[in-house]
Amino acid sequence: MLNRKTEPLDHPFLNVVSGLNNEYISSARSGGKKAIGFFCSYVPRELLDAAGLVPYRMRAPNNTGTDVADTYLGQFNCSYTRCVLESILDDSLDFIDGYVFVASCDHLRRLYDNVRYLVKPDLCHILDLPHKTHDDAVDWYTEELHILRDNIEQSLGNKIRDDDIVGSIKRTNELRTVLSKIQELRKIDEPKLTGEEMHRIMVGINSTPADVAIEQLKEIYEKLEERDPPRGYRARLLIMGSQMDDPAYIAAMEEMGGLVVGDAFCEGSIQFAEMVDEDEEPLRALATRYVRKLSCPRMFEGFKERYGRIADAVSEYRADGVVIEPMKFCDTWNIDAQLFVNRFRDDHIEVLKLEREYMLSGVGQLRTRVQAFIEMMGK
Amino acid sequence: MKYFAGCDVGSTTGKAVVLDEGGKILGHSMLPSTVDPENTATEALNRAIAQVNGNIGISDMERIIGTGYGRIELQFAHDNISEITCHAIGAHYLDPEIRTVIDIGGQDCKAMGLRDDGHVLDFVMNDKCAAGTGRFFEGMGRAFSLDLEEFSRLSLESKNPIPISSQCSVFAESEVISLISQRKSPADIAAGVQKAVAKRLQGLVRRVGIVEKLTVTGGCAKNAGLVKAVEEGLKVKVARLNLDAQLVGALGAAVLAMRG
Amino acid sequence: MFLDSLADRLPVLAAYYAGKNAAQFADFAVSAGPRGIYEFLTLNKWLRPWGGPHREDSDMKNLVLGRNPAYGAIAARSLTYIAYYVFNVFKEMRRKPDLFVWHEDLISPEIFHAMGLVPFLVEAIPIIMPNINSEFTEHYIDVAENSGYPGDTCTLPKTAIGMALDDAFPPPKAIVTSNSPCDGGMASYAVMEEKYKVPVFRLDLPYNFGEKRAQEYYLREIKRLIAWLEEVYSVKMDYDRLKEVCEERNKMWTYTMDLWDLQRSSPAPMGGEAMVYGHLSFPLGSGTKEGTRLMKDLLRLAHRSVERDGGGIKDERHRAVLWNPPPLVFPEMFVWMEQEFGAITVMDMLTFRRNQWIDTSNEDVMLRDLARTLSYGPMAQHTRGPCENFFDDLFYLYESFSADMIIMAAHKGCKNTGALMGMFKELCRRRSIPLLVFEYDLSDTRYMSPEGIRRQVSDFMENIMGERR
Repeated sequence: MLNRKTEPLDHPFLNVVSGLNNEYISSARSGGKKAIGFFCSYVPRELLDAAGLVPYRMRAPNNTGTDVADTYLGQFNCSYTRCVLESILDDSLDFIDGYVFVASCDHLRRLYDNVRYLVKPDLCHILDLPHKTHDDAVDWYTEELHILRDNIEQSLGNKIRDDDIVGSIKRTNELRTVLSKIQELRKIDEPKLTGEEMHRIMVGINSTPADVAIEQLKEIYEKLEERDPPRGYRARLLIMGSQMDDPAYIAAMEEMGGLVVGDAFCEGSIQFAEMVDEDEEPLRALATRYVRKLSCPRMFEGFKERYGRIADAVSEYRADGVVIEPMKFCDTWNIDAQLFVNRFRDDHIEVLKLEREYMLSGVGQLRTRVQAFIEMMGK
Repeated sequence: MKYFAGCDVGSTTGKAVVLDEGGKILGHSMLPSTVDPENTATEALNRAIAQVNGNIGISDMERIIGTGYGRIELQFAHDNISEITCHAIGAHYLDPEIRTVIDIGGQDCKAMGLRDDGHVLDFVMNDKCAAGTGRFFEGMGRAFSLDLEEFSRLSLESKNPIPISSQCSVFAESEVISLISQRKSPADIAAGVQKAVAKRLQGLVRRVGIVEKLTVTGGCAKNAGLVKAVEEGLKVKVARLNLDAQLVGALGAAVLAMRG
Repeated sequence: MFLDSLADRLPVLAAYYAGKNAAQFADFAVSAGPRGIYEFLTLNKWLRPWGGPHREDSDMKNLVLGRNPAYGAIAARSLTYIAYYVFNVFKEMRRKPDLFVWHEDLISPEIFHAMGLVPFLVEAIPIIMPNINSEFTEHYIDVAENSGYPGDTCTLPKTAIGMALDDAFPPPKAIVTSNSPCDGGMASYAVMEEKYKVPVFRLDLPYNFGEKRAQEYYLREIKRLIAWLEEVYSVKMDYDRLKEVCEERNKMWTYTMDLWDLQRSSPAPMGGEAMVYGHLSFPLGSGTKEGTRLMKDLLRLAHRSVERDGGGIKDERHRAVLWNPPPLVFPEMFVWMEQEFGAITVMDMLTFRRNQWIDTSNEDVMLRDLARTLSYGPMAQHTRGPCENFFDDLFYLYESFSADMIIMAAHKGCKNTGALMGMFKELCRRRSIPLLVFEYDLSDTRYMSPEGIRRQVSDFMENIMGERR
């Protein structure tokens, strides 16, 4: 069992996840900036940032039910979309001034349709992300980003110059560089932070402006260097999945002795840390990086490459096993997850497939499965 | 003389098994669970210890392992291990040729694939739904006004099981009641229920892979009609274990305590 | 001709259906020989056991015998074409095994025919099977679920996955698929790719596919497809042959448009599952002579239905537009509604398509129009893009086909349309359109039996449409 005497990492940035809104967004908004919600890791936050907007990865924690959302989105739809819609409709997300979607999957496309129908925000844009990564697809997505830029300028009046975008790319890259330094501290024999702490940091990064996050991360890095590493874990785990923003989920796993050292999910550090080319024409650079980053199973030709990158991450982070946690009702991820399980088994990589809903429930059941998995690995 | 104990605190029953350092079973017990898992476990353990010669108590146990849904609350246990591992180890301890275990408990069911040493290679759980578990058969018992053993015997009399289509235990209960009121043969209905549960278990165990020998643990293993339906459905003989099937988890925990 | 009129005058399913099929099968048997037949049976495990009623309450004969002679003949003729397709594909596959290509159901086969390939529509058997053998369908669904694939994925791709994993299909040399119609369909091909380890090409249709830049992008995708096929199969695209195929398709389309014109008036000549299965001829064989012949026959029989038989149903009290695919597990639903409530389903989502004409005057415009045709394929055009695509055509059809109710077959595995039900109900309410939403599973009676579907339909017809049983 994890030694609970380990001093938790104490830094205010780790508490951003506790609420929907936070002081950084509030102060940005009182300074005249708008906060724009996005739903998918394929939205280039640099473009929103360059427009003087605060990009906010949509979350809906603390939802007690989705009764209203369920009348619009069906009972067999992704619980992330239903919870977010519920929060949008009950005004708990009223600090968000507009939305940028990606046509990532059926559920998010329909969330976009329902948000337009029910809310009619000033900015409600959907990016048409191709399912392939060839050069024509990158060209296409570059044009899509031009169209988004025009839409922002028209709907919100925020002018975006090329220099602004270049500056934003540099800033976000700087954030990525600091993040990578923290990632290195997880690859070592005694990782300096738990997966839960890292997840809190990631949610913080996705809920605050880049310049704020950079400063916070620098402070956190210094604390980490001095800190005693967490002790008492029995196994190192890498997690794979889609949208996850409730650190309690990872905490429940870690309580059973499995330290999460690598996070390959939508808001995870592995994906986020991939850099944007600063020398390329800025919108093209963004399109290239976003279309070709560690992909999601909705990119339909990416299986082999994605498997390779995850298998590499398993080695890099020296994970003993992988936990795949696809969201229930997600055909894209659930079918892909089984293919991954089959491949992992062929390659003798230990894997646990968990079914999950966006709202954490059945913690006892989660703990049992993770504990059994760790025991199964002989750890 | 060293003593090792395992406590399995489930949602419906609490069980305990005591072993000596040679691995011989000295005592065991089972009682209905109370709201407080620690109380349930203490009582079960005390009763099991009472069967051991000599004036000994919980403090004389060299090592105690807790398992089952209440395992984390057991202050007196030295450690806790998941019921998945414990059921596997327990079944394997009783018969080292066991390679697949289906555990049907009070509220959940699971299937485990074992390595040669009895440790778990893969597992699949269904703990979101009561269909086919002890809770489900309690409901069936009510519908037929029979206890589990009588229900099982009744189902074995059938020559022509009536298919039950409802997937959900709540709807299955109303379907059964409706068939009974239509004066269909109770034996055939009961056999149909067993068959439907066996079919669901089939789906579960196929995801883990059927490797002989295969056995069934948990309270529902005492339902001979269900075991027969499982054998027919999987086309595999279910190996019988020489210990009450409900005690296998606690035994596994005790064995793991002994092995350190 | 003699056989056709025999079927009209004496609506005997066995004579027409078996007769036509016997001819197809005999043709296949002669060319295949005993060895070929043996191979055919071993490669196609899904053929055994074949036929026979699969549900106690199954009543397939009613599709033909329960209707006016010409309408019944349309139902039979549509099913006959599908049987012909199956035998023909396997005959061709034996003849040209190196040119066997699998394709997904929303990609029509013109390109393949123009290149002399043997196209096989993967979802054809999963679509037909629940109509005629639900136990077998459920077996394949279970195979997929027992292999770890989710219980809530649409049972159509899941049946296909189960069949692939169970080696029920003859294996492909290569596969062509797309991002249509939905995530489940798309993801199922990842399983196919892992299973068969053959080259796979995926057509990527943009979100706002009607826009000019999207059409241009899709045209480039089509060109990439052709280049890929040329490489994988070592055959060159024959543009003269493609022109012939597209012109043949245009003929088929002309008959179809005339058929729809007849459908617009009251009484409608036909409808229901007969219409849906008849239009399956597009993905199965557009651009082939047999496909054109089918549409021509359907048009001729539709005229006869209206002119001689007094329409699909003589006492046409209700006209419905069906949205979402019809229940594969319960095709008898439509003839039951016709007999019970005088309600005929005059148009549906799988039948309706737009922008289908192909200008063959030169290679460039021909490919451009072909790309456009594919992007406006049935169902795909409604499920891709924003929800306006889903609703605009529906309300247009409601008006132009003089419907008085909409039926939404709310298949539980369809996450795409499931997320629009709230909006659907509100939009219909605003327009005072009676809307029947019934819940079921497309291919699996274990979730909702036909009796359960009947109950939902009866409740609606009695309480909303004022019909007495």
